[in-house]
Amino acid sequence: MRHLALIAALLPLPALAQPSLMETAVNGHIIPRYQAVADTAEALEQAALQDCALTSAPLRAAYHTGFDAWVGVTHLRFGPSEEENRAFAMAFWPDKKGFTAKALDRLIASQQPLENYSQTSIAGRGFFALDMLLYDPRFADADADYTCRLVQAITADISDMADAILQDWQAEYGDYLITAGSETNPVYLSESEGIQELFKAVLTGMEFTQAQRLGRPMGSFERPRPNRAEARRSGRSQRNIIVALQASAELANILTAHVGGGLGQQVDAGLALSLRLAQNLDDPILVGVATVNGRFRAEALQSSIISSMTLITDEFGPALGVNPGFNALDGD
Amino acid sequence: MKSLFTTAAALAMLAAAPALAVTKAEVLDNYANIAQANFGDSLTLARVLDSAVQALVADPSAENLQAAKAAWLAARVPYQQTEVYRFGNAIVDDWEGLVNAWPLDEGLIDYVDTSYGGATDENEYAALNVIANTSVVVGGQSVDASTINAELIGDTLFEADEIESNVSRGYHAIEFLLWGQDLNGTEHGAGNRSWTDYAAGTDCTNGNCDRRGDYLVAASALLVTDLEWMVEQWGGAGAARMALTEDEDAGISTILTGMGSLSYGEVAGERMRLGLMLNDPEEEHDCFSDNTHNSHYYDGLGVQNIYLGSYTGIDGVVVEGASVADLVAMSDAEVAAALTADIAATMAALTKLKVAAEAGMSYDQMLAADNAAGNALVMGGVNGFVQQAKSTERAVNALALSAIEFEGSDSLDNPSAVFE
Repeated sequence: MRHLALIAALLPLPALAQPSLMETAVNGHIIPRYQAVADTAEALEQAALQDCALTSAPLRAAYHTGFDAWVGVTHLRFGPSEEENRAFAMAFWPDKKGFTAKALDRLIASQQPLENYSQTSIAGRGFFALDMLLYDPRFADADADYTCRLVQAITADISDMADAILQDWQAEYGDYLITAGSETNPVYLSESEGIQELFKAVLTGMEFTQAQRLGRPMGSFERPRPNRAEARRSGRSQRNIIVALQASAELANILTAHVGGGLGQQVDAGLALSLRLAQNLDDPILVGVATVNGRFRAEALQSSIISSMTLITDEFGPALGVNPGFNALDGD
Repeated sequence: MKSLFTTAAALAMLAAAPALAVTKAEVLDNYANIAQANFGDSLTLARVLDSAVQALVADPSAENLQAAKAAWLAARVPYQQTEVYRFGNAIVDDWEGLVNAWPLDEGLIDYVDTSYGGATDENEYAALNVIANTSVVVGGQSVDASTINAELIGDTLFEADEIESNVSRGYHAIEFLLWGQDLNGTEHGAGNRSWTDYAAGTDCTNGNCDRRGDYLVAASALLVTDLEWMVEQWGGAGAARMALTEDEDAGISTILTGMGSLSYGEVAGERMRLGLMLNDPEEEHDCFSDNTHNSHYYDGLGVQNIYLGSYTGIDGVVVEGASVADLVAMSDAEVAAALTADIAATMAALTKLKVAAEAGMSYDQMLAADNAAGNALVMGGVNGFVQQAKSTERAVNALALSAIEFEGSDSLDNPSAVFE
């Protein structure tokens, strides 16, 4: 009861032409980001049609631009990205049992036909299949005619998924968030459930970044695991952390602006600090986690993210009137 | 429209029914009692398994191997229902890897097929095969493995080199030693280890039968002592019971966390959906025995037990009392009824999956890319678990339990006062 009163007190007055929190989140954050994913995925598909050699510079540049856009939505693990396993297929990682290498080896060895590529195991699809295929030396001498068509199949599949996610957001899911709590809303039964979804997204992105993108290569002090860094083959490990933190911060800023006050500023400042620490890592594939200095920097970044998460969970959530709920990372 | 109206009407009726007044203390007490009974049943059947394993090793035969397999399958029935206690209860979560760690790189333990491959980027011990090697090197240290005992498999090899898939103990290690690798891919059939893998003298197949027997006996004895310890934690003054009841709000939150996290991130995500997306037959929870349908089914039943506050033991004795459902209903009867219905729907979906599996389409067959009907059975379970996690979130919200209030604030409504 106390929370309901609090939320009511915090709701902005319905002033004219003032977008609601949900409108700002959907139209100012979510849809533009998925639009960027769709645009860059289309460019990647075209680049592969132009030149599909694994070492092609334009292809690799388009891969990086597309991957940047995708990492920028990896905190949004709900709704259209979860339909038909799209987010899993876009980026299957961590890959603890080496499924991606196995899947690509199998495709190439058997020269499997590439029609209906969306039916392939998720380990052979998406940006991590490209990270492996374009950059791992094991594929450099593979049958170039087949790997060329494989690159085209993977990029076309990425582009199809990107279009599908964007279309679903534009057609209906954006409205579900914006009208959260309306009587006909089939997904969000109260406005608070919509806010909780955004709140969870901020935390999901930060948790994935600190526990997986950073935590996996960090391993333990005695046993660092730099080989487990995300997308290390294409040199994107640090870059992914930066892009992901920017995305979480952008969404958090929308929520903090809604609450206002010193607490919001504290949250924004914490995220800005994490971002600076990430930019200053100067360690593109996180090999530094095995050195004293590098580890110190990685740990500083990790603890700054964790302390922001604690602040967000324990103080900012209650101010918004929501709690973290459950997310897909809860398992082990 | 008609069915929608009927559901709404039914919910309204349920909402109108007076909720049974229960206290948080009563709910916590019943939850701990169920844990004690459920882990107790797991222990009882682990002891039966241990006897069967000893009989197999002492007197190897096809019949004794079959009896040990049957005992393992039975032992899983109560144990899987306890998984709902994992997330939330730190004492259980810190311990559960000892008994139920998965997935595992089974080549650590025993011989494997050539298709398994060798060491991987992630795990250089993936094909260590300690049964065949009396001396092994782990983490740069030479390890004397001439005697296979509890210390070697329970400690030295367990999560060796800090790698989680080095699973040297627990149900799945035993499962591998009883069934062997399932080499049937997404075709029908489980692991097909011969009893002669335990035979003496020249009858022994695949070598080192005595060491394989030592391993199996040590692993099943460890399982018994691990479960004995956990049953104690839920006794009258046990640490798990004490931790749960220390702060009532935090205790209730623990229960709901266990229900939601097991449903969503663990079973729906890690165990069911991932396997489907990879179309990989190894990605099934009980991959050697092809018992995965039961594994998921009893996980689901465990959630239902806890929510409705009633557990039926292996001897038919029912432990029941104040339930989470009662507690939620006192705050919001509609939310409580929706969660009851969602859990029932999950159980219905898991029943379909179980029925198909028992009638001959095993779980790994359901994962095949070209098996649309099998895929749909698995997705039915996934969707059920995801939906009930969503409703569990609503139950958390209805009870106004949030992280900040776990600190011990007394600002929460006192549900019993509401009905006075």
